[in-house]
Amino acid sequence: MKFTRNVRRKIIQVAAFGFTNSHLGNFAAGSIYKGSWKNFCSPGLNCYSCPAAGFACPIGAMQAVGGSPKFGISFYAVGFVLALGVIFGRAVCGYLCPFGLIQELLHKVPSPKKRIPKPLTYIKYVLLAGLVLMFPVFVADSFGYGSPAFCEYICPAGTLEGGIPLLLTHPELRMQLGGLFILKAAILVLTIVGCIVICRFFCKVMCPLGAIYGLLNKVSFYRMHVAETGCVSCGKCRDACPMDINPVARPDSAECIRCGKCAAACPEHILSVGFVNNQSKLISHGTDNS
Amino acid sequence: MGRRTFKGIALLAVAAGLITAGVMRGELIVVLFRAVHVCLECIGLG
Ligand code: SF4
Ligand code: SF4
Repeated sequence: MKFTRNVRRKIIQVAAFGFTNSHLGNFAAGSIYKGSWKNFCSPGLNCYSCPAAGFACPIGAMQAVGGSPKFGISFYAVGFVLALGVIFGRAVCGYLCPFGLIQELLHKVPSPKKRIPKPLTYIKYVLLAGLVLMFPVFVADSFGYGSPAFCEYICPAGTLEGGIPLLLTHPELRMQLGGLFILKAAILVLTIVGCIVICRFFCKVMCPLGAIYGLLNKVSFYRMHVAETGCVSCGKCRDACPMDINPVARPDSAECIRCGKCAAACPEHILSVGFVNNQSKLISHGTDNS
Repeated sequence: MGRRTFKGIALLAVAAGLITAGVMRGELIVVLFRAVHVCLECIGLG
């Protein structure tokens, strides 16, 4: 097998999935890992109620701290995501996120494939601001605790990774199922069908973590380089892009997961993805450090 | 140093400050407490 960038990326994705979810024995026991590694967040979206999860979910951590009467916005989780985003940008999504890998596998199911209307990609920013950052801080119960609204009302990763495995092994939890679970199950079904038809439907439309990493693509050290000359405007990079981007026009697009498929498709080799490197040969269009 | 690199380094410093401040004011306890208990909201029970 040739170790193309895409094969290397798949190996890293599988390794990151395994590292983030190493407690597989907990599935049969219906329990979750309770050790001190859960002080730390995983880079990608990964429900901390998944039996196999070894780390906290950064979006869950933001809401947990935000909903605590003592704190408000979480410095720790925001700082963690900011640091990773500045270094890697949305390459975290392309390489390290377990739910990103699940979505890519779902997209391999044979079906008609579609692109997403651009306005729908802005929904994730509304979810980030409204449900992750503001709701837990400003909407509190009588004891002063805010609810983790994104986890509670939306997150299909929680339903898939945490909800279904725990409900299968806990009859007492199944007795409590109600309208909220029906809502979350419906969102999970919509997400699964969406991901089969549209590559990374959840990443494009709903993920608040991808929204943060995407915004940091504009400053991240890991980035897209576009050579100053040589583009013959054949459009092959745009056609190859799973995130529906024209990388020559928008190398720092918030949607770019730095997968490198565009660079592999370019017959003129004018695109490359990596950390800041030989800037004398390459300039970055649309950015400011040439 | 390019402007982009400068912005990146400045943001990394901010991130380091935020992480330190979060750890020092005790946020880790809240994260850990949440992460080691089954999150009923996450699994759809509310
Ligand atoms: S957008 Fe969200 S779910 Fe998708 S890969 Fe990035 S962090 Fe993971
Ligand atoms: S622009 Fe290139 S690196 Fe970015 S998502 Fe599209 S194919 Fe992948």
